Amino acid sequence: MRPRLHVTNGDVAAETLGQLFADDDVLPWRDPMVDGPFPAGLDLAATSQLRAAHLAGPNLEYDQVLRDFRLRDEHLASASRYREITLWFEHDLLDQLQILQILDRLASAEFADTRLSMICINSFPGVDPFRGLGQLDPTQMATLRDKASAVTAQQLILARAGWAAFRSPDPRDIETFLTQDLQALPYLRAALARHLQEFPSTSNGLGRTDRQLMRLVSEGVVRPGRLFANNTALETTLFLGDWGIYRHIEDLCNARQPLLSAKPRGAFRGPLDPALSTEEFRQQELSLTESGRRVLANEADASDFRDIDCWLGGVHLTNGKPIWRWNESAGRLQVAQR
Amino acid sequence: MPNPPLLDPIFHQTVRTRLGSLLDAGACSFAELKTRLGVTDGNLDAHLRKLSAAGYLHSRMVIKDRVQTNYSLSPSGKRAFAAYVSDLRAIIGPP
Repeated sequence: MRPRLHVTNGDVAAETLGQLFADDDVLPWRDPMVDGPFPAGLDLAATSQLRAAHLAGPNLEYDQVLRDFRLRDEHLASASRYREITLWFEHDLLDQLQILQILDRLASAEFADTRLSMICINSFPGVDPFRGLGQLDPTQMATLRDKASAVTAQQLILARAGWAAFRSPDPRDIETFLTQDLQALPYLRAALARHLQEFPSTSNGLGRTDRQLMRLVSEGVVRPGRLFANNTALETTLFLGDWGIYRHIEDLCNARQPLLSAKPRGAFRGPLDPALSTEEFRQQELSLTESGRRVLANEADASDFRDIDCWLGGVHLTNGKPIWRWNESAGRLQVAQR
Repeated sequence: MPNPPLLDPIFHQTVRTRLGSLLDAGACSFAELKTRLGVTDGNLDAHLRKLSAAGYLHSRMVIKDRVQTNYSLSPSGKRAFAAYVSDLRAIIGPP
């Protein structure tokens, strides 16, 4: 009999599924998709190459990241060898983007007799707050099996359109996409709306995550671990893990004129920094710089103090070009000259 | 005499037979596999991709001092490797 495949968002959930379905194959879709480039017009192979270059760093070798993306992509390309593929995901932005990318890819695959189904949840009885499938043990996960529903043509069409909008260089395509009926993918609207809030604010040039982190620091939350935990509480749906948050802190500390400063070194060091023990990492203490205080008070714009060179999906935000800004009071994007 | 069984072309290749036996025994990092098989990065990459395209490869990311990926055979890979070994035995005959 042909095997079954389960695709999910990361190693923790994949491990649980592996215990639950010992005869089935499991593919974790590893990619922190909320961070870094996803330009339009690239196929999966070229996108993976670009993603690997973005994600590689001192503790993550480019060759290894690229290899794992390629192995993942090869595995999904062979999807038709399975009699059934089940996608296991949750409601947050990261998972919704993963769903879009996977369904976009599967929509163009030829399936003669492969059943494609999906389980996507935003809560689980007795797990409060529910942050994700990684919180569930095999027994809890097993109860979700009956919630799998066949992926519909409407879901595939929406996923392709949503994926194109996310990768568009013009983020207004996302706003246009959000005017559609998205009931077929019920968590997608909130997720993409949250994505738009990561664009620099018209008030002070900070994206929502940066603003939340700086506000927490100003309120006396100064240790990295506590910052991650308290920031989590500010999100309706968690989509950035601890490493993602630490990357934001690092960027705020490493600005041309830093907006945050870390004791004892000034610069913030990440958890895998070989020069730092776990305790030294935990004991780092963040504070607002004067520039940071002015930005947080809307007296200055973050772009006065830091160079911008980042990607939000298909949009490259960089100095010297008109830049897309998020107008919080209007609840929409607008273009600004800096 | 019955017809000899068809051998799985994914495992019926010298490097991949050895790779299959290593991965069947347990999880290995890329560096460990490269050393034990005595092959280049590019060569091992190509063979791992063959296994992955067949759905035979499972990977798990682990964090030690650095981030590392460990590879093993997936459940369908384990079944396919066991079938390959059994088919090979059927061809060779009893010792």
